[in-house]
Amino acid sequence: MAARRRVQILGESFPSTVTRVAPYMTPSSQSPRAVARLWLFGLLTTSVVGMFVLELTIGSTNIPLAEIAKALVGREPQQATTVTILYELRLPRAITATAVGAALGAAGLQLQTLFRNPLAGPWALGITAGAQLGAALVVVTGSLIGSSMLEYLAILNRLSVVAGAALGATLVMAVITFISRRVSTITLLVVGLMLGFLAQGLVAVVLHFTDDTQARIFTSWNDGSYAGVRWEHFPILLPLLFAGMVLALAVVKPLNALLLGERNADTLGVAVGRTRLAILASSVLLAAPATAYCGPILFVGLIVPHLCRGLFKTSDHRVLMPAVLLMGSLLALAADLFVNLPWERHFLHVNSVNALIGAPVVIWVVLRDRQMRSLAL
Amino acid sequence: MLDVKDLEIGYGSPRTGFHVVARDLSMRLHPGELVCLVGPNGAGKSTLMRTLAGMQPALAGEVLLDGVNIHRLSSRERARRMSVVLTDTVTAGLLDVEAVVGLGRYPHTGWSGRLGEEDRRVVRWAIEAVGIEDFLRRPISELSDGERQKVMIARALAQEPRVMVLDEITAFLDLPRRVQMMQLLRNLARSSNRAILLSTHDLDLALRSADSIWLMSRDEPLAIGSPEDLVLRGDFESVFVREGVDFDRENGSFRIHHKLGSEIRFSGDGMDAIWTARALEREGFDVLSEEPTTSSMATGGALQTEVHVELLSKPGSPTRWKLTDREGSREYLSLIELTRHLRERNRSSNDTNTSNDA
Repeated sequence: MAARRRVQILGESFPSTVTRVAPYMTPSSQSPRAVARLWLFGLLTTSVVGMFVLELTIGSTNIPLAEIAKALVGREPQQATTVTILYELRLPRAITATAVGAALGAAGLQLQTLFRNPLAGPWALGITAGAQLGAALVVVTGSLIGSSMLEYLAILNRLSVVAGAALGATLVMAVITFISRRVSTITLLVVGLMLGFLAQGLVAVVLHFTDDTQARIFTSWNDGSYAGVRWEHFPILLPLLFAGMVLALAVVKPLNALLLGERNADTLGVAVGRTRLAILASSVLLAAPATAYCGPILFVGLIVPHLCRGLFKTSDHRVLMPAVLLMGSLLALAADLFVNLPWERHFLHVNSVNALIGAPVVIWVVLRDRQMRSLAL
Repeated sequence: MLDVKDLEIGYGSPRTGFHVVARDLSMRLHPGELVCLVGPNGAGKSTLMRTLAGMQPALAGEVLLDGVNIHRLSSRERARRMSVVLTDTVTAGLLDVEAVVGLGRYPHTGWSGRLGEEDRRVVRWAIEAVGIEDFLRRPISELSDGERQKVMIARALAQEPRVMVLDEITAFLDLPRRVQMMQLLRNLARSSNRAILLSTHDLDLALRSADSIWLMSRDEPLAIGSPEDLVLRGDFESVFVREGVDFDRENGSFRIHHKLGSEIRFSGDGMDAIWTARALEREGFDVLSEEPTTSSMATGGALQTEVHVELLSKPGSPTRWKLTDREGSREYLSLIELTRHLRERNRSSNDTNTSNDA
């Protein structure tokens, strides 16, 4: 009934459209674009798996695939050290890179859409710096209290640094959220950057008052690496990241509506305040634990969403969200693999590799000004 | 459907004090009607639109949507009943047109926003109704202002609301599309029993298409009625004459006046005569119409001192205009030649006047 009435309306003003067979009537799931997307997802997934395996095989000593397979199914490999290297070093590192890369990518995508800013990300909004400050404060508090016990219990010490970082990141996010209700996105980005510099300045001052041992703990954390995470950290790290990812996948619909701006999203039925809170909560759940355990990992959250938009040619978060998870893992694994290639000397940091990939991407994003405009203003 | 009771609109907070834009507004949107909100700049049209859409709190009074205060409805409930199109420039990254129209189904779809069979049918209908089938796959950031506006209207249609609130949506459209859009909106209102409120600067179109007009002005109470009611009551004159334009009650149109104060005699008939008179009025002359003469007798004698324009139309040959004044008579092939000459003539006569004074 309703449909017939509609046709009638059309008949009155646009008679020509009724008889025409619309080419877009085919369901989107069968269109060539959807097929291309499926292929891309297949390619990304394969790449992530392949990169994961390479992470396990390549390193200071190369372990053949057959040996890895043997070790993984619990059969005795030829060399006993293989098991140690695989289980104690490479497997945790590869799992961490996979999870953290995905988490940072998802956090970056959400923040870029929420703040309508292509340069938003955990780093640009000061979340990373907040984590740094939190970690530094914990380190210096430890040294002031002089708790020698903490130093002996290396795990506990690491955990307290982690807690400090998470707290710092959450605090900065709270400040950003509070301010974001009152100012424009550009202002917010500037405030975020300044909060970041402020935190870094404070970090320098704080470190000035610590002794060398304590400072070294901080510095090693601050370099950023997937290698510091052990099996015993996973029960905390992975559930938090998983919760963040579930929340991120749950907000894809409001994220799409937010692409039209908050006012239009509101008229479409988005409860903007609650949605913003959910997005920020998800970003904290993703970025804070990741930064806390691995130190500041730069560029991943910023560039992964752009790479996915470029690859899939869409802003639809139903496509982008799974895409950034895969692309984030891929990028993190690739950068880590590069760092851990059998170099003669081991001075390369994962953030340097990230910068080598990331900086050109950021420049490309900024220069492609039409897209920049369409996202920023 | 939408009831407004003793509404007071404006800005401010208890801390900063209030700036009241308009007060004591009471009106109702009836199902099946297209209402145009018109008024000069600064009368508070946008504030009223935003308050009615529930995007801005009312200072006093209430807006009831299906009997419920609009500020108490959840966003989703509101979006199912009312769709809003704003003048904001919309930038949606790489979303294409079809995806944006699909977003109109937001309050009707599940958590992932996936469109079902019915949703897709409504989207298709909205796309065809607005006539944007040709650029469905283009990213919205690459569209022109007018195209983008149409996409946003299609999105609002896809929402399938009972009430549509549209702020200045015809502003970017060309005339045929504007007329078409008004026609579409009116048909929509009629056939699906929706209420549509449209704010516009286009008075002419509003007068011709609206079922009802809300006329807002800076310091008079809101005037409500059919376009003809407002014309007959003289509401348009009282609001717009103060803004520096004349309202011609007979034609229902606005006129810009800059009078020379000089008279011109004109004879002719038919369509050519109507438009010739209009051109002469535009030039600032008081046009004194005369019965068309068969000969050029009227130019003789006492009338020699005056300016006279005569339309020479013979079947089978193009129209010519004959201008007669003290210096004799000349013929023109088009109105622009005639009006150019009249302007030059006027300038030179002014010059002689000033030199005489000196």
